[in-house]
Amino acid sequence: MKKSIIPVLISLLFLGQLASASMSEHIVNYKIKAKLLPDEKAVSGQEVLTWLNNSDRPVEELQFHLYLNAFKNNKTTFITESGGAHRGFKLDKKNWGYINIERFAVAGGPALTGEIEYIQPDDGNEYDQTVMRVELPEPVLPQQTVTLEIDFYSKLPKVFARSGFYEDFFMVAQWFPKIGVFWKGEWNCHQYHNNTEFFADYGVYEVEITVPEEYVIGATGKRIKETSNSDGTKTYTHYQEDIHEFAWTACPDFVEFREPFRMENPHVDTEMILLIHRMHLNHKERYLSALKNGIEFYSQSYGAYPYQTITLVDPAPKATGAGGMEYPTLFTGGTMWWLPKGIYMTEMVTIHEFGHGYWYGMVGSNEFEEAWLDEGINTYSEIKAMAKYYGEDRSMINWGGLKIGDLVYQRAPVMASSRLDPILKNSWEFYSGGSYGMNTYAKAALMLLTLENYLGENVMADIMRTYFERWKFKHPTSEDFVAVAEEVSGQDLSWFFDQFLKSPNKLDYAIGRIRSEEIEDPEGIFDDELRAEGQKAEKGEQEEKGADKDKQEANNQDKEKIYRNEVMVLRKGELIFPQEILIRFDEGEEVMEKWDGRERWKRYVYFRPYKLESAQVDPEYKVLLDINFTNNSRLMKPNKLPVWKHALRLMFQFQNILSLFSF
Amino acid sequence: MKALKSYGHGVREATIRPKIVLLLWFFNFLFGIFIFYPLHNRLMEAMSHSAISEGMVSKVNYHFVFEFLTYHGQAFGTIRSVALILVCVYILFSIFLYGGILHSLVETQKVAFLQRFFQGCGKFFGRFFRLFIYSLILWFILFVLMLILYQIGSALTRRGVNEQLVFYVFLVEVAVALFFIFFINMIQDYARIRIVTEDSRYVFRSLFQSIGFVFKRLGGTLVLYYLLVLTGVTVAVVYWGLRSVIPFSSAAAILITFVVYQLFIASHAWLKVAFQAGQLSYYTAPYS
Repeated sequence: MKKSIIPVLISLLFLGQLASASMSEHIVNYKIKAKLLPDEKAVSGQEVLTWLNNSDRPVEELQFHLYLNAFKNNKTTFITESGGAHRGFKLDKKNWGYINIERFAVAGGPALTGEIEYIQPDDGNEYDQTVMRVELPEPVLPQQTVTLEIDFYSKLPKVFARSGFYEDFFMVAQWFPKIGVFWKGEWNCHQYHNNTEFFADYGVYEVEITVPEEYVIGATGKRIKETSNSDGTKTYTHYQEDIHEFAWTACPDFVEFREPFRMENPHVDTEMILLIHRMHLNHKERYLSALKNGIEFYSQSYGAYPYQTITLVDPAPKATGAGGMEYPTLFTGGTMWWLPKGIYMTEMVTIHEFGHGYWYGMVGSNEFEEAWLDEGINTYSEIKAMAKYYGEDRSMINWGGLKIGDLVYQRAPVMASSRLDPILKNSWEFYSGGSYGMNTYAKAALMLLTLENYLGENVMADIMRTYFERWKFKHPTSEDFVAVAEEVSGQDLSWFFDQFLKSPNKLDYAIGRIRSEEIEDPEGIFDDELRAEGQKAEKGEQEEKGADKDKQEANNQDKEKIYRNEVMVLRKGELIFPQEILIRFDEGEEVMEKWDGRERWKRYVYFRPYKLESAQVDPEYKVLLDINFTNNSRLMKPNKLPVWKHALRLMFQFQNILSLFSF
Repeated sequence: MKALKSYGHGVREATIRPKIVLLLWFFNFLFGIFIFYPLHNRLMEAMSHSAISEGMVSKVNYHFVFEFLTYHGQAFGTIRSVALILVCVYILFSIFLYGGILHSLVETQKVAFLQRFFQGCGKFFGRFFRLFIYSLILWFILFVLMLILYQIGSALTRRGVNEQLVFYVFLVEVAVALFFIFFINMIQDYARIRIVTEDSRYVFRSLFQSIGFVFKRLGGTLVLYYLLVLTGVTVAVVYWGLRSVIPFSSAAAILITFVVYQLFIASHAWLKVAFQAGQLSYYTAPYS
């Protein structure tokens, strides 16, 4: 034992140096040996996990995610919630997925395989085995580690929800027993739900992947070793620190392209690895160009991309259920061979999924409980990146005369949505997948864009940079984001976030009415006149009265007309937001009013020698959460030209249909 | 050669009979008006008083489009249903009009155009309607054929990840479907021509004889039909060329575009007459 002290000390010193250089606190250290079994559509693995208890209390049990058990039968929580479909892709009931724990032991200790217990902390569904609990023979004390040895067998489902196979394409994700997060004094280890994504602790992963030699593989992290085996297989070793997940992919039809990406300000030096299916080789440049744009945008906007590699995986055709998903330093895109260049789906997915590397990968948001911190912030970033590189008004589609921007695309579901859920909610508790997606992606993105327009672009940029810098490789909450926003902007923003994060209500300001009425001369009977009349009658001056009246009328004709111009602004939605109102008069005068937007309505009255031309609340459409821009303004005279244009165009299209069907 | 002559004849006949073309365009326009007014009113209500309309003159503001579909979707749905009904009515009405077109092309008696046209419409409507019903058998056969083709295509592409193959199989399916749609349409044309030229009341027999006619003179009938299709495509290309140079952003431009729209619709009517006249000429030409 004594002989081994010196090397141990050297190792500790070395590890200490590594730890000081690392970007995150290494809570987990995984060493996994995985072997792909193509015929069985499965992976067999041996995992050695060292887990650090960084809390201030002893931990007596461990909890693990067994995500693949979500696809074990039709009674699991995932399948029950999703109805066996995910993003339009269906479960194949001939190819269930599961994970078997063949051996579970504390290193050097007894086997605990028999002690494994499945728990269902979210819904109590006894058929759900996506979380397991193991009681330890001895508690793990604060700042102490425990090392576990786990042998497992992961049967992959036919891919429909992120992970699985299609023929000889394999997307191996959420595939190994993964420890939960001991956070705030308890285990945070949720079941795998239809709407939830993931949450895990940072650490080090070293994974040996053995596949038949004809397979091309891609994996999280940097490849540090590659060996050919005598049995016709190859073993690839990948290593990465400061990550919280490990995924890999294998397919003989992948073509690999490697390209360096370097930039100076901020300093980025990474290698782009594109694994593109041979069917999609025509889209190689689209992928790489979008990836470059993504790295550049996120590095410049939030912070330098720190890893040495970024791997973009193009899933096989018909395996699109694996597409559009992020893992640290690796993500899956999506394209079709026939997809026209002007439909920027490939680019949007690439930029979006790369962006998750920031808001899920580096900023370790809890996607089970506060998905918007990843999806919403990332969609906000995506809209800005797409606008920068592809044009604001055409960043989704610029094809065949059709031009649609990402912002319009994201705003459409928000205006059409019902008041069912707020943005901030446990992901599995949303009314539906649609409500989850609309709130955590689109509405949250619009919320941040609205905040940006309110605070100014520079302030918002500072907020985002500070948030990223402060919370990268940690686990922030919504409160942390709000705190950063308030600190950087120097404003109390609780009124904003309390409404928009926590309320399902809507925001809609409108011009209710505008009118201009000429001020008429006094007519009728007035008390002053009555008295004057009485005095005149007494003096017998009745005859002169008529003459005076004529004089007055003549004077009035010379007088300038005065109009009472009235603008009524309405708050039709429940949510409150300060508003600017632009009032235009027909002589060119413009008045900009500011309203705190609190009352249900506000009247503005102007006496002018000319009439109103228009009134517009939020004239620059800054409040993107407003669900109806059309009612933001009111013109005094209707603008008939576009009405005629579009009505005639639609009529013409109808006439064409008539011609076609009657030929 | 005969097909070419018939093609020339068809185009000439359609050109020298502007009254038929005008009448066909007019009925199409009339049906269009039924849709124009509710659309106009709905758009007027939705956007004419909003500043967002300013962004809808030279281009399309998709914020407005999605808002319109969201907040006026129900009314728009009603208009769509009305449009669907109108299409059905128009299909029936066009069966009625076919009698007028063919009768006008065949009849040489010196009677007023409208009288001759509507005489033909009335005289042949019953027979043409029966023909329409009997032709459903052909459409059903096509449906079954396409189903089989789709199954073959699916079997070819079910396994494997060859997207190109899936795409080309789809193109082949579309091409085959279009070919047979045109083919059945052509058979119906000859059946109508036969009914008119021979004043036949045996509709079913006419349909079968026209099938026989088409198969007997397959090359000629197809050449003639596709020459006329090509003419239609050329007209469409010319229209798109014209349409793309008009900015469509001022009242005058909107008026000009409207005229171009209606000329394009009239060209459909012209083509319809050319089809009938060309095929009539081919049918009546001596077979050698």
